[in-house]
Order: sequence, then C-alpha cells, then structure tokens
Amino acid sequence: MTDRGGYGADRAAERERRRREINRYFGWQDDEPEPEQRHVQHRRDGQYRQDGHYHPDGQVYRAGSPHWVDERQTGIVDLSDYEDDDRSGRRNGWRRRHTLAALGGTAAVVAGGAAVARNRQARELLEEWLDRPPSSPPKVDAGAVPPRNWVNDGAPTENGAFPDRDASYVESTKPDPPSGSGTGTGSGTTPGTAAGAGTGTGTGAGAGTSTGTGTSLGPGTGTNPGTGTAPRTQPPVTGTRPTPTDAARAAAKATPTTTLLAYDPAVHLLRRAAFGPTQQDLATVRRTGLDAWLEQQLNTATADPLDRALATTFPTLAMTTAQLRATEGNDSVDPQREAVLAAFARQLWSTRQLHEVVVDFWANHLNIPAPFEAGRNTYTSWHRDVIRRHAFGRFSDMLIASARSARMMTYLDNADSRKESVNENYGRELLELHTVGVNGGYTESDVRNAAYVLTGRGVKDDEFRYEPRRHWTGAVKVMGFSSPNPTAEGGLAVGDQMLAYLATHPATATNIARKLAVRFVADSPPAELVARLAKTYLDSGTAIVPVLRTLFRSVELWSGLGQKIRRPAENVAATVRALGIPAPPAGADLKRGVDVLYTRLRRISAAPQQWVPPNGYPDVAAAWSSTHSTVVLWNTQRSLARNTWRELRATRPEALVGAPAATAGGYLDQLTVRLVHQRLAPAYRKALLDFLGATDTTPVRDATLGGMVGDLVPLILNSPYHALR
Amino acid sequence: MTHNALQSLRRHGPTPADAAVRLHAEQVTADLAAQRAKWANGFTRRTFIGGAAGVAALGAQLATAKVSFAAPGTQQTGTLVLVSLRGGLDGLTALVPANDPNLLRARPDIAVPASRLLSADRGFGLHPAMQPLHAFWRSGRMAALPAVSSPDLSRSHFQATDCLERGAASTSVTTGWLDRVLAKMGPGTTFRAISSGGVLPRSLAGPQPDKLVLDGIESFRLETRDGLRDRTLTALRALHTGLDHMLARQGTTAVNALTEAEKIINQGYAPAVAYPEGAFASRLKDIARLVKAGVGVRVATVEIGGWDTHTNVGRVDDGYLARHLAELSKGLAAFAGDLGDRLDDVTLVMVTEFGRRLEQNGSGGLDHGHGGAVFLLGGGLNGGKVHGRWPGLAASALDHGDVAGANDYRDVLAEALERRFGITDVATVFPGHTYRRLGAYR
Repeated sequence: MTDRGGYGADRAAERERRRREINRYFGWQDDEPEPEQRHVQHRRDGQYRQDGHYHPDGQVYRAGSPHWVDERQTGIVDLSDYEDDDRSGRRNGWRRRHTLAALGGTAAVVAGGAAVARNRQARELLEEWLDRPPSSPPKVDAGAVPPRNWVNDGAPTENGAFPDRDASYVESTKPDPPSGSGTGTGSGTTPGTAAGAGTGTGTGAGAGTSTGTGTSLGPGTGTNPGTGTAPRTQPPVTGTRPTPTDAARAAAKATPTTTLLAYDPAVHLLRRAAFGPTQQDLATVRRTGLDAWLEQQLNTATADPLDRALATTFPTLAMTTAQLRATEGNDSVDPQREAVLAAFARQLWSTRQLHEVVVDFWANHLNIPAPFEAGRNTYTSWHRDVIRRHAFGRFSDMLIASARSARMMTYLDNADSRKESVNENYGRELLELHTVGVNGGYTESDVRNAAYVLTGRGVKDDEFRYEPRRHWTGAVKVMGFSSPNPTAEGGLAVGDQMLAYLATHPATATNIARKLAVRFVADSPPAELVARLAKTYLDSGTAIVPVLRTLFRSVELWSGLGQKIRRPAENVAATVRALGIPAPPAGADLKRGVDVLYTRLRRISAAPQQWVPPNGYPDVAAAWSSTHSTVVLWNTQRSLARNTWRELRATRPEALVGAPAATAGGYLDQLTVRLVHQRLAPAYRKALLDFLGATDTTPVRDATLGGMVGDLVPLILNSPYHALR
Repeated sequence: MTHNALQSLRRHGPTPADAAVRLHAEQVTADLAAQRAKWANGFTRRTFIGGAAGVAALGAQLATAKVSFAAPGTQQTGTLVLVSLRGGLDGLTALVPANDPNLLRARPDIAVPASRLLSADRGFGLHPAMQPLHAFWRSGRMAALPAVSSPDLSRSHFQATDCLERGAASTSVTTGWLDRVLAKMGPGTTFRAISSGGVLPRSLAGPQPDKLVLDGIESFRLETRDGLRDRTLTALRALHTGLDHMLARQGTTAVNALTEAEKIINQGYAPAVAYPEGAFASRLKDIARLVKAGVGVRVATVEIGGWDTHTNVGRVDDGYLARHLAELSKGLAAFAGDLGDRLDDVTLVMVTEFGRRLEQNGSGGLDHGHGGAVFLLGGGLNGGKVHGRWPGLAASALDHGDVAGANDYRDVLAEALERRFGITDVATVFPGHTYRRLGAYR
C-alpha cells in the first residue's frame, strides 16, 4: 500500500504490530496467502444458487464449510434485496451493491462474528488505516448506535458537502473574481460585450440601474434597462408592517433593484400570490384592496366553482385507493394523469389561487413524480389527502401524513425496509429534503437511526400498513430526538414522535422558510426575511397560514419586484390567464384543453410532477436555461394567442382593448398595459413599433392594425415583461 | 491505542467489509471538509482548477465554477458525438467472444454462433446485424472495448445512468461531464453543443451556456405567419437586448439559433447516403447536417433506447436484439457515410449504463449486468481492433455472475478527450479518477 506519511523510524514496526492485532481480531492468519475468490451467493426467486445449482431458500454457503447455513443467523447480506431491475427512475437501495462491487467483485460475503472478508480491496482499505500515524486515529462517530444486523450503504456522507441545490445554481451564475489576466468580470451591459479581454461571456447577475417608478397604485412607466453599474444609494427598506397594504406602500419608497417591471402592488400581488393576473382578479383587487383579497384567499371556507367541473371531468379524483383498485384493467381510466391534470387545471382557473400556489409549493417540496409506474392507485390519495388537505394547515400534520402514505413508502423504498435489511432511502430523504435540509447538521448515524425508526412502515394492496414484525427495536437517536424504541408494536408512535420533533426543529423552520422565500420573493432571499419566517413558523406550531401572513406583510416581498422568473408551467398558466382564456366546459373539452398544454410541457420536461427525484423542480432562474424550452414556450404562447386549440378560447387580439387609441403608439401602450400591465421602456416600445412598421404617431385605422395585431400580441408575451414576475 | 482503535473499527460496521468501507467514507468526508475549509478561506476557483487534484472534493468545486477560457493546447475543431444506448446493451451479443465455452454453456438458446460472426480482433467477432458498420471496422475507423464499466455503476438504470452522465460516483459532482468538457473547450458558436432529440441529457447539464436541444432541426423554428419571420426575429432580438439578466442571454441565444437554423433549413439537405427510417437515424442526420454546415458543433449527443432486454433476446437472424442492432448499425453507417471525409473530424463514442448477465434468464432474456461493450467510430483510432483488458468469462473472473468491469469508461472518454481534443487535464473532467491510457486512440 502507498505510504501515507511517515511517523518515525519505528513506523514499520508499529505497522506490523497493528497488522498482527487486526489479524488476530479477525481470525486471519499472519502469513496467509491470497485465497482464491469465491462466488457470491446470489438469490433469485427465493432460492440460492451457486455454480448453476439451486438450493433451498435461506441456505447459503459459509466460507470454509461444506454445509449451508441459515442466512438470518449469520447476517449474510442478500444482494437480491437490492435488486431493482424493474424499478426505474427511483433512487433505490442501490448503494449496498455498488459498495460491494466497489470492493472488487467476487468476494465471499462474511459469515457472522468470526468475520472473514477475503477480499483484497477490503484488506487494502484496512491497511490504509494501518498506515495512519498514531496521532490521528480514525474518527469515531460518537453517536453511533452499536449495530445489530443492519446493513448500510457505506457511501461517503455528503451532508453539507455540497451546497443547497438552488444556491448552487445561483452561485454558478456569479462572475469569477477578477484576475490579472484581463478576462471580463461580467458586469457588462449588453451581452457579449464584457469588459476586458473578450473571452468571457457577460455573467453579471442583475447589476444594472433603475430609475423612477410609479408610486400610485396604477400602471407606471417601468424602469429603464440597466445602462451602467451605479449601485443603490440608499439601504433597502425591510421589516414587516401591520398590513400588506402598508408593506406595499413602504416598498414603493425603496429604491428597487433593476427590473423592467413597473411597481403596481395589485399586479405584483397577483404575480406572486396567484398564477398571474386576470382582468377579473385585477379589478377585484383594485376594488377591495390588497388586504381584503388576501384574507379572502386565506379563507378556506370559500367555495370554488371549478371544483364541480373537475369532479365531472375527472371522476377518479374523489375515489379512495380501494375504489381505484377496483377500476384496474380499465385502460381508459388513468388516475395518475387525472390527478395531475386536475391540479394543473386549478392553477389555470381556480379562484383560490393562493391555495393552489401553496399546493404547488408543497407538492414540489415533498416531490413525488406522477405518472409513475406501479403507482397507478396511490397518487390520487397522496395528492388529495396529504398535500391538499394540509396545504393551509400545519406542516407537522402533513409530514406525519406523508410518512403514512403508501405512495411515499413505495417511492422511497421504505416499503422494502425491515429490520434484517434496512433501506435508508426514506430516512435519508426525510432529513435531507423534507425536514432539516442538507445543511441541517445531521450525520450518517442520524440517517441510519431515522431509517431504523421508520422500519415497519410499508404497503399492502396499495394501502399503507404498519408491520410490527419488520420494525427494528432498540434505542435510537436522531439529532436531538432519542427514544428507547422498545417494542415493535410501539414503533409507529415512535416514528410519529420523531417526525413531530423534526417538523419543529429550527433547521426545518429555516429550510422551509428559505424555500418559501425563494418561491415568493427572490432567488437569493435576504437572511433576515428567512429568519423572520422561520420564527413565525415555529411560534405558530408549524402552521403555514401565519407564515404567509408574515410574508405578505414583509416589505421585502413587495420590493422583490421582478426578481423571479416564471418557470415554464407558470408561464403557460400566466399566458392563459393574461389572454382571458376561460375554463372550457366540464367534460371532454376541459380535459382536452388541459391535456394539450400538459403535453406541451412534457416535451420540455417541465410538466407538473414530471420531475423524478425527490428534491423537486429547482426554483431559481439559473436552473431553467434552455433554448429548446424557450422556443417551445414562445410557440405555445403564440398558439394560445391565436386560438389554435378549439377548447382554449382566448380573447381575440383585436378585442383585447376596448376602444383603441388613435395612434399606433397609444394603441401599443394600451395593449401592453392590458397584457403585461405597463408601458414598455422606450427601446422596447420602439422595437415593437418597428415591427409594425409604424411610428409613435402613425394613425390607427382599425383595431386589427391591418391584421398585424395578431402577430403583435404574441411578441408582447414572448418578451421578458411576461417572463418576469 | 491499538485496542481502542480496533474497538472503534468494530463500531464502524458489523463486518470488516462494512467497516473498511466506512473508514474510506470517513476519509472522504474529512477530505471534503478540508476542501470546504480551504474554500472558505479564499481559495478561488481559478487557483483551484489550475492546481489541485484528487478526491471527490473536486466535484463540489465544479458545481459552481465556470471556466471562461479554454485550456491551452485544446483543439478548436472536431466534434465529439456521444451515443447513449439506454437500457443496458448486452456487450456479449454485439461484441462476441467467439467459441467461448462459458458463453455457449450459459446461453444455450441465445449465444451467437461463431460461424455467423463478422471478424473483429483478438478472438472477438461482431454480431452479423452490424454488417453495415463492418466496412468501417475494416478500414480502421471503428474499434471496440469489452468489459467496460466502473466500480461506481450499479445494476440500477437510474443510478448507473446518473453516475455515467455525471462522470463521477459522488453526488457532490452535480454537473454533467460534457458540461465540464465544454468548459475546457472554451467559448464557441451557438451550435457548439447540441442534443438531438427532445431533452437535454444529464451529461450536458451545467452552467455552460449555449446548449441547444433540437427535436428535429426542421421544426426548430418560430411559428409565425409567412413573411413575418425575419421581422419577428428582429423584434425578439431587440426585446432581449440591453437587459442584464439570464432571460436576455437565453433569449438572444434562442434567436441566434433560430436565425442560423433558418438558413440551414432553407438550404435544404441532400445527404450523401440514404438514411433508414426511424427517429434514431433522423436525429443522426440532423447532427451530420449541422457538422457539415460548419456551424461549429463541438459536442453532440443522441440517445436510443430499447436495450433493456429482460425477455426474449431472440435468435441471431430474426430476434429482437438482432433487429435492434441492425437499426443501430444502419443508422450509424448512414451517419458515417454521410459525413464522408468529415468522419475523420468526428469522434463518436457509444456508451451504455451497464452490460447484461452472462447467463440467460428463464425468459430467454438477460438481466442487468455490469461490464459492457463500448464502440468507437470516427477518426484518430487504432481501428479494426479490440482494446482494453478482457478478463474472460470463467467463473472466477466474473463479478457477481456478470462480466467484470475490467476497463473504466472514464479511461475511454478521457483518452478521446486527450488524443482528439487536446484536453490533457482530464482530472477536472473526471474528478476522483486516475486516468490510464488504453491505446484505442492514436
């Protein structure tokens, strides 16, 4: 083995002493020659086989013995526990296999206490340890529970080793620090003109300036695009105010960061608390005020006329899992697709927009893809009974419900986890994604223990079932939670206690607060805001509505104007709403209308619940860069504006504005105010006038602009004014 | 001390195998933590990429770094084409060890008989369905390697594909390996990186700008009324100018790509050879068209599925796998023939996430395995040869009953990058891997 650093002249002697000690401990001979490698027993269909011969279930070959012994007594790993041939698209318990494969192949797996790993690479790894200087013994995991018949993947802990995914994307867009070689530092203005020796592409993130904005509640003129690098001259206004309206007013006084968007609080509210403004919603907000509209949205008693239409169109929505099982074999019934389409339809047309925004947030936080093979009957209940039921409730309730969901148990392999062979997948994702987060301060031991606690939670006949005999008993410790976990029957309750602990953990509060801030405010939200939301979360016992109230009373949300982009699905929804496309009649039309847009989004891998891994869609601009998506999105906006699909009836372009102004410039302003709620900055206004072949004062003969209005409207939607929110 | 250390060793796992792996894990953790500490103390990306090497810790760096200059010595021409065979191609059916008794015994119904094989090298033969490619083999523009995998690839589609496309085992490496290649290649044209077929593959995911996903170049156009195209593109370009935001950059790239694509589409295309029917062939045709159009394609990816042959592999003449290999071969042969002389500028590599088991299963099919075959096509090859180590199919040489991973896929790719693109610093493309030359490229 390689010399890993000397620790003195008697290094060789020390090494030899350690080697003998290890050999004695493990029962190896000091001068044993390298043994020939043996087959690993591989179990298929309940039978072990070696060299092509099948043997009765449960018997394996013990090294050095002619007899077959019982696996459960010896703790031999059954690799087929980790077979995942037929489960594509999920992160399974693959790590064990890959670990053993990493040890170089055909090692006979150990047999119990007098462990004999005949594998050369395992030995080499131990020898590396032998060569460690005495002053640095291997680190001991102080919280490690003495293992008992557990198997673990042995994968290196990545906790905290890589940044939060969204933060990683954001960081990837930052310019490199300036160096002496004169490459561009990316605070350039127009793309491709980075200062310095021109090999860099301009990478500055939003460092332009802004000028004045409208301070009334009507449409303003927008800010000029960045023409330099003047920084803000006054500190941003922060903190909460007694009402959302007060917060909105306070934000108006602040100097916003550069953005194309004009500050109109009513519009901004509908961009953030809804999937984009409609004419009706805008009129309502202006009439009743921001506060009243928000309270109405947070009122869970409000009925939504869309509910009935959806119930008619998608009959499986209300069915229980058992009822769905009864429809199996009927290929015309696709419960997963119905559930996903219905959720998407709500984003487009529900009157309870804030509820749908929050449902979308939770569905992404506890991401489970759909459609998903072998998940036909379980997704409906997941979305309805776990996500929707608790979306405006408490996260701790949602978390506990998610841990009793057949869909979650299947998706993250907890259904396969049992005390003889624990599958860590769900335990890990619970900590890494659902609760405390990748920087939450958990260790591999916590992951193991969480997995122990969750053993026994499984599935039978597509329903959640807790199986006591699979539950691992014994003392457990997951971060600050510990329990003697003495009985199998009590394991479910221990799990609920652990989940309650995790849901109320400060790191969970910060994790969820941060994700909410990224969703509602900006890609890099201010730390103070995140802390404020986390505190509200904890003070309210993980209830989400108080956090939303704090959010909308925070000035940061209102001054975060234009700091978010619309993800493709949101962009499509905002386009539908901007064009005044009503929900099609219930039944085939509604289904087809939603389906055609859903299919378009699938082409660019941006459809709701299409993201496969459990971490959900990224939520920052840097992650959504794709020319293919851009072109498909532009074409979709064009198709919607032109009424390409019978079921989706947009307001005709020439009817978007009541009475067109007398000049082209005036009409253009009316159109942009109608579609993106403001007049465009002069440069962009001119670009569109050039497109029309007109000037500001060209007279308008009719609302169709000689047929060009149908080409102008898509351009306005293709612009960044519609892509920002 | 030793006794305590041993006790601590024991606590790492119930078995020495587990304990050893956990120790290794601790080591990697310590290295990663040290890396982060360095990072926090002002270690800049430039100095890091310039100097350091080793350990999975590099991956954490690559997730956030963006090299905006090409490494010295990098070639500025040539196209890397990655063909991903999704599902796990059975290497032993494509690149067959002729007359191997282990193979014949393990696959009584589906082993390809030696008399039907096309001659290859070193006792291997190609499946007869690969006849369309045999001319390239004989003329030295094609080569192969058996038993290719890596210790990090499991038998799971998802994990193995994810690992293969990121080019690293540790999930702290979040960019795709092709994105890192693009970083080494330096800035280029709008078409420098294209994915022919719908989705941006994981191997291209990362911060490098300008990746085009085309789903048929003929359909890569903006839907406008006749005669309004140019005006619309002009307006779109203007709407995305002067704004310092990722939207503007993306929009500009899209407009550039649409403009260029329009010219290419309007030129029409008459391929030098006839392509067969099917999505795979038409996607290759798009790549050939763009390569020949001289628009600066440096990296192109295309994928073809249907290799997950758990059941009914079939016989050599009319079986499913034979027909699918024929489709693959005809498409690739047309691609290579269409390129003509330009084939020498192209480096095509065919990878798959894993090979399949030696022994046939109860349904006349093959389950997931490990080592698989890699085929290389294009210029700069020591062609007509089978490269790399072949451990054979004796029981002691197998890995859990599967072909062992005697050759690492990263060595194949790194060699292509080094010999064909002048990218010598392969440690930044494949962190945590020590590159060993296989000799497949001149």
